[in-house]
Amino acid sequence: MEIVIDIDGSVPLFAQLIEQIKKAVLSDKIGPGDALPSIRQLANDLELNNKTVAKAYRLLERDSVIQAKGYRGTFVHPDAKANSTVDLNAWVMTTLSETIEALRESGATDSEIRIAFGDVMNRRVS
Amino acid sequence: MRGQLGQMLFYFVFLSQVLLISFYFPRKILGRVKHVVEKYPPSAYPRLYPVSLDVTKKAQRTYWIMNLFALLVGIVLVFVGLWWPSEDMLHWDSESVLLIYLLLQYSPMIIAATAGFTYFNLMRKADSRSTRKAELRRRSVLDFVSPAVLGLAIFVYVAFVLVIVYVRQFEFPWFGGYSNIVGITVANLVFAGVIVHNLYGKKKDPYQAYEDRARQIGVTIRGLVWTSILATAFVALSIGLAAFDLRHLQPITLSLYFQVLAVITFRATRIDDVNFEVYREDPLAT
Repeated sequence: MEIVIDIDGSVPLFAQLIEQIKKAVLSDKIGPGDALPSIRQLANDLELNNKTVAKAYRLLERDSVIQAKGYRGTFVHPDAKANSTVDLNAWVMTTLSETIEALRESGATDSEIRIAFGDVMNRRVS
Repeated sequence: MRGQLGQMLFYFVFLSQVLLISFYFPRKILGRVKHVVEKYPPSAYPRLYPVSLDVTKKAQRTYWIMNLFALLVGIVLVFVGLWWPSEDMLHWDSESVLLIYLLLQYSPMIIAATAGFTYFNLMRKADSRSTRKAELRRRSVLDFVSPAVLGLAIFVYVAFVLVIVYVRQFEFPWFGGYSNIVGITVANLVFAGVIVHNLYGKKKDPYQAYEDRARQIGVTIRGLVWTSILATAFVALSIGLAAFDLRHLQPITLSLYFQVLAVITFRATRIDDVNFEVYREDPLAT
C-alpha cells in the first residue's frame, strides 16, 4: 500500500498522513494486526521530520486506529476500521460551533468568548 | 609459501584475483553503464542524468584507467614473484602485500561509490516534485534474508567465540587471543549498522521505485550477512591453518577470500530488473 504526501499542499503533513492511513484501513489495504513502518522508516521514506510522523502516529493511537506495542513496533488496531470512520476533528468543530452559537445567543460578545476560550485552554480558569 | 608447486598455485590464485577485480568486473560494470546510456538516453530519461554525459564519460575513463593501473601492478607482481622467487611476496610479507594490493584494486570502486553519493545528491537537488511516496509496510531483516542464513551467521559467530576460547588454552606464540573476537565483533557491528541504515535510512535515489529499492536492500543485506559468515569463517580457517603448521597456505586462502568478497560486491551492481521508467520526464506519458 503506497501513501502519497504533497509537501506543498494546504493540508498539514501530519493530517495528510492520518488521512492516508485511515483511508488504507477503510479500503482494507491494511488490516487489524498488520505491522506499520517505524516512525524513522516512514519519516526517512517520505523525507519528513520524525516529529511529524510521530505526531500522526500519536493522534492515530489516540483514535484507536493504531496501537504501539513497545519495542515490537506499531500495529493496526483490532477496531481500526470502525474507529477510522470517527472524525474527531469534525466532531470538535461541530461541538465548538454549537457552543459558540449558544454563547452568542446568550449575549456573550466574540471578544469575551475568545478571551474565555484562551483562558480555558491555558487552564487559567478552574 | 613452501615449494615451487605451492608458489605456482599461489600466483595462479593471485593472478585470478588481479584479473577478476581489476579487469573482468570493471569491464562488466562499464558495459552495464554503456548499456544504460544507450538504452536510456538523456533525451528520454533526463532524471537519470543530473550531470552532462561528458562528465559521466570522463568519470568512466578515469575509473577504467585506475583499474588498468591496478591490473598492471598485479601483473608486475606476478612476474616478479615467478622470476625472482622468494618465500614471501616481494621478499617481504605476502599477506601485507595482498592487503595493500587489494586496497589499490578497490580504490577505483571506492572513488566511484563516493562519486555516486554526489550524483544522487545532484539528483535530489534537481527533483522538483512536491509529492513524496512511501510504502505503508514495515521492513525487517527477515523480509530480505532467510531465518536459516541469519541463524547460520549467528551460529558461526558463537562457534567462533567458542573456538577462540578453546584455542587460547594452548598458548600459541602467534595467537592473537581475544583480539580475534574483538575484531570480528567490531566487523559484525559495522555490518549491522549498515544493514539498519539500509533498512530505515533515507533513500539515496529520489526516483527509485519501491520494488527496486527493496531488491537493492535485499542484495545489500544478504551480501553483508554472507560477508559476516565468510569473514568469521576465514579468520577461523587462518587460525586452523596456523595451528596445524599450514601457514604457508594463508596467502592462497586470503586471495580466494578477497575474490569471493569481490563477487558479493559485484552482485550489488546488477541492473537486470531495474525500472528505468521512473527516470522519464513524465512517467505517466509511457
